[in-house]
Amino acid sequence: MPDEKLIEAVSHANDDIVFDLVKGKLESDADPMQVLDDLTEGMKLLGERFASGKAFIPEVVYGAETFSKAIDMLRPKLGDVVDKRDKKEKVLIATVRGDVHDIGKGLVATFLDLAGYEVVDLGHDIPNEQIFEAIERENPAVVGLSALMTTTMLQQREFIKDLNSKGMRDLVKVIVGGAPTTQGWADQIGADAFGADALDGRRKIDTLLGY
Amino acid sequence: MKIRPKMQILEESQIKTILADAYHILDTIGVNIRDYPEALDLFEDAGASVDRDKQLVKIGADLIEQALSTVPSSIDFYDQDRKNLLTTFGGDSCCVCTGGTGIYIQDYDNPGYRRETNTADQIIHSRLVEECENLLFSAPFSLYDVPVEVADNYRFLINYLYTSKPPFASSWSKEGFDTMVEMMAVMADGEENARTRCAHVHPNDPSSPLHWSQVVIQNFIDCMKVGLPPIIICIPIAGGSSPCTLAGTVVLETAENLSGVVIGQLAKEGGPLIWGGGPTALDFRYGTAPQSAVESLLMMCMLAEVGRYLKIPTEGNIGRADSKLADIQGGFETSMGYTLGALAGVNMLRGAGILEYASTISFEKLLVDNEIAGQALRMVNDGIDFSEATRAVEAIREVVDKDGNFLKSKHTMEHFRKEFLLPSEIIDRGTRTAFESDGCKTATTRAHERVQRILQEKEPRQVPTEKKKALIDIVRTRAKKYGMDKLPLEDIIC
Repeated sequence: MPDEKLIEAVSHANDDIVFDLVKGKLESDADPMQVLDDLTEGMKLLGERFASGKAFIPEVVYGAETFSKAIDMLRPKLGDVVDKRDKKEKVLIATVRGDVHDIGKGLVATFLDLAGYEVVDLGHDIPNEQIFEAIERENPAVVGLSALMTTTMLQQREFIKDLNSKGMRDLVKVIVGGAPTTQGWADQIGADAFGADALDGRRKIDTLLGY
Repeated sequence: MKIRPKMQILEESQIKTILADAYHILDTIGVNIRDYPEALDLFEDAGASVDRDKQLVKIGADLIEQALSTVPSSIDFYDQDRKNLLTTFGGDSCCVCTGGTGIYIQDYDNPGYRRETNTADQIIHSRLVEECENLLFSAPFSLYDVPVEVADNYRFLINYLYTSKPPFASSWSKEGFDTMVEMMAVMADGEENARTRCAHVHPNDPSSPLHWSQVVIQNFIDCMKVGLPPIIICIPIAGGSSPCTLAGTVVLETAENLSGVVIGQLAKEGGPLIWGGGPTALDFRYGTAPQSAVESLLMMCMLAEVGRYLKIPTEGNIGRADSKLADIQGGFETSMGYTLGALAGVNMLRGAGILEYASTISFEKLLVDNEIAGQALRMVNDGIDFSEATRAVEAIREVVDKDGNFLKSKHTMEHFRKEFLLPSEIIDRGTRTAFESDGCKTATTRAHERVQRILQEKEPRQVPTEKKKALIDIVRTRAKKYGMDKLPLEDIIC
């Protein structure tokens, strides 16, 4: 039976209640698959609350963190089942070398997560080499690169150049975004898409992958 | 005696508390300085605690106090030819700068259309700025019809050719900075003039929380070395890159600015710099960073009050409209920003002519903002003349005794031109009859017509041919390195 209290707590990003309920269920040998379903349903509701203007970005971001920690609590019982639940393709995302801006990129990651993508967020100030290593390790369908400064947007172009020279261009789609970037810039450097804002980024990735 | 209208949000004790918190942050958390060992050397030599592995510097109160004791409280600014003194920047003075940072132009005829900025747009913009009597500094924007590596120097070139007003413009690399310094020497008829007569401000943006990236810190230090006043402009997003509380963001940005003051004075003791800022309030519905939210304005005013208390000239990203169009929203956003900023004592209000989170340029908005700037500057720079003559008791007696009115009074003749600012035709204060006979136009339409008139009727500024050629050669040489043999500008002016 679904636990409405747990679903409600997840959908309102109420972390203390979520952790208490999950802990209690694990101790009382409740069905961990049912807990996983409830957590997932709560996140779906949180996404709907955001879409209808009832929840706001901090609740969505905090809710996603809470969800992720609750999943970690289930991991000892469910193993990698928790990672294989109905996920869409993997998206690798990073802010480029020399740039410490995290907010926009973080929002894209959250919106992708809510939309069911498997998101690997490498963080900020990430050298291209580190992104290539992550591509080989994670095998993502899409790489998203954020640059918030005119001084760092050139890293996006370098990345695509290197991607070409390494013969890896066909392995991934590339989407770029960030304050100084435009569709023209994306076209010029050979990116597959340009995200004008966080939600637009998610929509463009949907389009790239045929959703 | 002149009354300077003022607004004070923070009491002195609250400013001291903000400073104490900022000192504590710098002493115990520290500031991260990325990939530029020379800056770490400066701190280490001055006795600061430097962790080279983490690239983290902890700055004690003694270093901050020392730096604050040597920062100039005012800066003289000249036009780009270094011939005319434009303003002494600091104290109670207030001036307005255009918005800069745009990457799109809003099409007047098609509200749904904006496109990337190009050479022709910058020429028009600079020509318009030249005619805006209330805009003192000109911030050229990003241009997308040249290689991005040289766009910083290229926009600087166009700005110089088409307006005498000092630029508010940054460089985007060491190479760009050195080229810009070379260009400044040409403009100023020699390095000595360029170094000793300020005619340029250079924004340097640390990243919240407490980060200086490599190009930013390098340019900042280089600015200090060549006597080009840098502006420290951190743009924290409250609720994102800084606390979601207004006081918390002001404390953080105060710490960030103080770190810049210390670095600047270590690089060149006594060198001028500017206490700037651009705090924004994250919109928790859309993830945008509006600059004209009332919370953004309050934070900016508080930050400027701290800078003012420290007797450092201040700049504020304030009055930059978030509206997508030059509409009623855009108008009230800029008006509110300029009014509050001017009253709070911000020395430079930056934001004329820009929309949509500082991304989109509108020529019409530029001219409307020139009018708003005129009102704000009238309020604080001209202030209220408070004297026996202006209190006008004798004039009142004379008019009442004669059972007359003030329209016929000599007192009115003597004072009305000084007391009242008469705006341009963009601001409609005319009669209904005139409004109807002129086609019932909005302010935006009137601004658009003025744009057309300026471009048709006003001759562009003329820079001596040799100087023009030398500057174009410098930028073309750099552009060639990136595959462009001829600048788009050359097809327009040659």
